[in-house]
Amino acid sequence: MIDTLNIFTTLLPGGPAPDGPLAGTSFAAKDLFDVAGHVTLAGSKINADDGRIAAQDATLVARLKAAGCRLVGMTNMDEYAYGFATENSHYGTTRNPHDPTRIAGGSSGGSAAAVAAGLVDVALGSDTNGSIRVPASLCGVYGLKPTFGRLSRAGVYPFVHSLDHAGLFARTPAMLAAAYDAVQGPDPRDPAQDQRPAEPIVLSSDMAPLRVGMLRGFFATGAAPEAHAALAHVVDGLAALGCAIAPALLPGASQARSAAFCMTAMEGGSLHRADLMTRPMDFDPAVRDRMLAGLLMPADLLLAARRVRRIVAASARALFADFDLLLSPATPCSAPRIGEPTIEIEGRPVPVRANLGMFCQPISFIGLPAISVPALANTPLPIGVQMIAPAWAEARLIHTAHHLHRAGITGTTGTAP
Amino acid sequence: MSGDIDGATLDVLLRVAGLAPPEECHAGIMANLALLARHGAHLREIDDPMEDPAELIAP
Repeated sequence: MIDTLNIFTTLLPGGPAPDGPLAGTSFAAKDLFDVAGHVTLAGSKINADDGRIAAQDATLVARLKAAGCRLVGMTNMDEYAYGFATENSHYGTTRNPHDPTRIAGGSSGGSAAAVAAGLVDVALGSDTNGSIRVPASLCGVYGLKPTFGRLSRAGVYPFVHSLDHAGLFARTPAMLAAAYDAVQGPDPRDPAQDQRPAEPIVLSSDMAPLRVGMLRGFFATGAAPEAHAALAHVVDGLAALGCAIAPALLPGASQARSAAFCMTAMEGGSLHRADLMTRPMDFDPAVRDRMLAGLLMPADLLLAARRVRRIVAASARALFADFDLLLSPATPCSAPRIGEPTIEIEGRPVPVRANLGMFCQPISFIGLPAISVPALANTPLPIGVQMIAPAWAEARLIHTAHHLHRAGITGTTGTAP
Repeated sequence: MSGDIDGATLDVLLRVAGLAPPEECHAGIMANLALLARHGAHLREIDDPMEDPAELIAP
């Protein structure tokens, strides 16, 4: 395999095809999932220097292997998962399979690109502020971030303990469902995981009419025309499938994004405090300066952020009394060019990297399950729409995505074989 | 806390926190402090400590 897009940090030798329900398929793992016998780089030079070799596979890696899915390699990412671009100063930039002059998004950019390029059927990623949904949107694949606590994080290198989620990429909802079923369920290795039993996905030919809320307010501003076009396309598609569409407001969404921003810098900085004290120049500069700033913020700000999380989570629970599903753009634009610092939105230059996750951050902050679906809206480049469900309703997300895919409203294009 | 701090104030903050990044990092840290201060002020618009039930630990 020739990795011209800089997708992989490690490519593994091929072996015998394993048996199981996923036999004949392959997967890649973001390089923060432990793979036995390898150093988990997490996009860092520090981990490479330290050279700690994983003694066992991360639970999700082990479960995909046990289901017959063959691990092809580990994928590039932003250092310590802190970024939306996969522009890594140590391991280079992962290029977008749809246009190699553009970024793949991040921080799970290598995983999204591997699926989009057709190099694997499934990829594992992590999502703290949007790191699955953003690259899924920019690479034009399906990206699922389940409910906080749904999937095991055992053997996953942490970034922000109170916000980290593990999740998946695939080119079809059916493949996503099969892989999700293979990895879900309680794991005694992860004390933070919810211990609810696995809830297998059933993809039926019928779809119940859903009450769909199109998020306005914070989610309706600051996006480029292609994001609005993608959202309108999926809204029209859901209406054609019998869903009732109405505008919806999530009070406090903008403040939730700010709270996620602060909590990330503060907790992320705290996690890496020892290395920031003793070897700051071994970090990616962008990551280092954000974490150092986070370490200097007052503890009161973290307490306030946690309170805001409870307020906005309560708002969302109330909103789901009226809606089964909420929609927003997944990203404010399609993939920017590599090195491009700003994009023009509503007539103003906007810093692109800090804002790529703006519509994802409020949702992961309150732990709701969400999926980015690739809209087939005749945009020049792929772009996703974020569908959000109540806690533990991943099945509704995947089932709805399945029907959108079957109807040709969403889907992958272009690069996969 | 204002994010718009000068170099001398940053030196004090870093010293109190036990951090000593090289001078070349200071501009980036100050830019991020300003950003965090703006987001911090924004999130406080809906924060109400008196109304918060807090997170309870089940004994």
